[in-house]
Amino acid sequence: MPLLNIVQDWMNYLGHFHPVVVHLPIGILFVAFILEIVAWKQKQPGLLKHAIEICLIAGFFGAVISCLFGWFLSKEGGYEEKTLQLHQWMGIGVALLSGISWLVKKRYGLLNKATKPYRILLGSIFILLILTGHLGGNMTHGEDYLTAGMPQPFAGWLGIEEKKDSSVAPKPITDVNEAVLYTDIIQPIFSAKCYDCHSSKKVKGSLRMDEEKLLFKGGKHGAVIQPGNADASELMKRLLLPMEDDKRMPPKDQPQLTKEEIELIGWWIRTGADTKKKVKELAADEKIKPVLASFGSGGADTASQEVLSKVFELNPSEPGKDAVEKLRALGMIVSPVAKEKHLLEVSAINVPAFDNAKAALLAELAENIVWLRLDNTAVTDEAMGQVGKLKNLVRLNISGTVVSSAGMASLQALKNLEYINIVNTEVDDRGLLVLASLPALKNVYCWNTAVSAVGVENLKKKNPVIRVDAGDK
Amino acid sequence: MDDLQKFAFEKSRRDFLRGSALGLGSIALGTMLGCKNPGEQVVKQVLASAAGGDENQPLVNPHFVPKAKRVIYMFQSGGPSQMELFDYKPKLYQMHGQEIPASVLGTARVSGMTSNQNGFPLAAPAATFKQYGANGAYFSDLVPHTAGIVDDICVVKSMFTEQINHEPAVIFTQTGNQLSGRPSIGSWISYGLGSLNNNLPSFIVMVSKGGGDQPISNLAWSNGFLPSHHQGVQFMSGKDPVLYLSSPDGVEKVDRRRALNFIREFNLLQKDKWQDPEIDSRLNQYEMAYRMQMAVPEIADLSNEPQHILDMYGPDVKTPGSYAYNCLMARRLAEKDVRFIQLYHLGWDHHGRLSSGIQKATRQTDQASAALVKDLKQRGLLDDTLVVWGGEFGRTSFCQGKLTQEEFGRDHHPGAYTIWMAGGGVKNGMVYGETDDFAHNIVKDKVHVHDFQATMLHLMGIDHEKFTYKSQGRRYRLTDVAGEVVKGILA
Repeated sequence: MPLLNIVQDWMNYLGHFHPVVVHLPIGILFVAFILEIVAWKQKQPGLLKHAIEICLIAGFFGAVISCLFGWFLSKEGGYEEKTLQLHQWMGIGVALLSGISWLVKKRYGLLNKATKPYRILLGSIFILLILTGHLGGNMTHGEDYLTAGMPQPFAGWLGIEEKKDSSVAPKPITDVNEAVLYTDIIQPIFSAKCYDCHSSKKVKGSLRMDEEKLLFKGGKHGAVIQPGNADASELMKRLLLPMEDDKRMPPKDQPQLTKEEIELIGWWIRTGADTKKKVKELAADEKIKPVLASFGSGGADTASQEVLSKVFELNPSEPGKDAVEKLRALGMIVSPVAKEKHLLEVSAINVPAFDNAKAALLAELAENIVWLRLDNTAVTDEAMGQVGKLKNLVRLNISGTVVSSAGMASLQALKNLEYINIVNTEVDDRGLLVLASLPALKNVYCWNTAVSAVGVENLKKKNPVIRVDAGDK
Repeated sequence: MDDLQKFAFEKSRRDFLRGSALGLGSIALGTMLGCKNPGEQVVKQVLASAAGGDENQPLVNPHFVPKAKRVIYMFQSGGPSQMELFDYKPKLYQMHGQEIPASVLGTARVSGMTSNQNGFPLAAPAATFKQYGANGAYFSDLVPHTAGIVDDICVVKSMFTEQINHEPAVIFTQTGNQLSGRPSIGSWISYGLGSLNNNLPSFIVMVSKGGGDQPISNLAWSNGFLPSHHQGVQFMSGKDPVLYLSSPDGVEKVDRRRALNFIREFNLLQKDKWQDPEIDSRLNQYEMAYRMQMAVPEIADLSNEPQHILDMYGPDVKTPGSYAYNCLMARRLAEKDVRFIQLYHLGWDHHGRLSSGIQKATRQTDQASAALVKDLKQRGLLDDTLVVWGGEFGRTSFCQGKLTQEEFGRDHHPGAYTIWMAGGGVKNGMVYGETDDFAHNIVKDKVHVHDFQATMLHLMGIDHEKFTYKSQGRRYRLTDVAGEVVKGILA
């Protein structure tokens, strides 16, 4: 074995002792500091002089050895360059200053004149020690080791925001087929299992995985991902190595990836390691299907949410209590369509006497009413003027009333209306055609009206999206 | 300690300790945080802990925007044979008389009625099949009307259950547990979402006459531990759907009102004294009965139904209590926004003489079931009404009894059966799930009874996992601890 290699191995090995050795000068210099305070309090400058000297010289040697080992360790790489530099020079500073203080103490320890500079020296060692140690700690444990998880209100006082680092919190996947494979599935795995050593915090093996560009660039041995070829990708190889292997990733004592997670990463690389594509755009092979299915929705259906009108995303201001109470006093049923929504369904199911005059009450809830049942009531075309003001109305049932085509004309402002039931009314072809201009309309029920087959055809011609059900004649 | 005793003692030792601990704690906290009126908070805390059971609150409003506002569940009790109706298996005709392969039969248990048979010979279905509709789904000649609405329904061929005998299987399908005592689906929904029409019960049950001799227990529409005014109200199959609803001769409506008000005051006194929530139920039921005096006769009066509508439902429709009559009633109740309408038809339990039995059952049900869907659709009600047709389990592809055209029957089979659904947010023109060549095992998209129930609640805007009721120290769900929404059938 060439000499160089032996030296290198020894350097590497001794470097690992840096974290151990480093505590010696810290402790020893701290003791020097305490003893100095004791001496000062006793007002006897000569007291403990000898002991303090020993501490300072021991601290000096400790610091020098720590610096040396630290330098060995830094050769291994994987640390953030700027912090490392600062830490290094501050460490060297501690070593130098402790040496100087020893000299000062030994030579001039009993002279009053030297007392002040000496104390400043000692004070700066103390401050440097804390800062250097803190930086070192940050490099090993991560920058937010002390600040993350600090209890409130302290964190607030220090202006520390809630933990925000490069790790990606997996957002819940409602439908795996709609999920973007990289950002929704792969990246959260990397974040949980790899970022600790391969991100801005720490860059082991010169590999950073927290940014797409750097991830594809690879580490000190070159690219780790060969898009389209999982078996040739270093990343996959490392994941699949036996636990005992030194090159195995994550290393033995770190949190490991599950079999499914490895499967998913393999699939992602095989399908081209694309960072934008959704799961459904990629060819799922038999092996990956059960894994994907475990994310919740194995079915291809996503429509259930899309079918809902945009209206349901609105949350208008709370419905006026007075208006609601007035309607309820009439026997109307007024209730929110779902929890925490200010969208209402209003039904006149038990109020056959509901008429045009009362319909004016509806307009007071113009933003809130989305479903309205006025079937088999006394309303006429006139009331449609009020109904036409309900701009968020999605479903309207006026079957069994005497509303006619004239009333339909008043509904033209209902931009969100999807469903209208005019069964058993007096609406004819003319009124039906008016409905063609309603942009959201999907379903028209016009059984038992004056509407003719030609009228239905005309409506369909003008607006092919609308489904007209004229029933069995 | 039960609630009554608890009330008698006003407060238990534990409540006192909890109340005072919380109370002291909140005084301290209140002072620390500079609360203006800590005393008030403490009073509230103590009151809350004394009342204890305020966890059980109905949802009132759905968790999310619902697709279905009401449900019509046409329960086909006895176990309709999937092979004779919806699940076309050409192999059964070819292999008629041969033993069912052991690999298919597997180790699943067979009921005591066939377990001692010498063999399990396959029986060719007593029906012929044709394809219908845009999706080319197969239906047998026994259900021509259902085949006619193929484009409006979703056929689920991959249902399975855990129960092999009628009573537990029915109770399982209706309450989510094989032992009776839990609330029925209708009761859960009535309790959770309340009524859309104050003049009618939110859960109405109709059992049709003339089906068969297999009984059905009213535990299937029980309220279980939910307040008892949420139990299914059974409409009778006679001229008066609800008995004793009409006032006796000489009793005016005003008198009835006064009498009810007087009884109400007494009940409220009792309530004050005993705090029994069942007194609330009783009050509710009196009031409901009073309001039904008006609403029910109107519902039951079919004189304004035009002839062509009656014809749709078939010749039985004029006979009160027939399945067709009940289907028409169901539509009329749905028009009145009754939340949950449960029909039961008995007579699907064909252990022997299946061929004639199933002909009778389909003659009684096929036309009316399809008519109900069509009628709801033309009235614009199918969009937000969920219609379900199905039983408690399926039947075996092998024969029970003597294998002759006339005599053969089929035994209970929980491993695979078919139901169909329509409207209310369900995909139409769809066939979901697949069984093997013998309709014995499910090979694709299994749907457990709890999955079905979860889906039903989902369509009503309820998250089945968040909808619980605490009873005797445990929180209960309709789907117990299982169930997943069948996303594949959602529109």
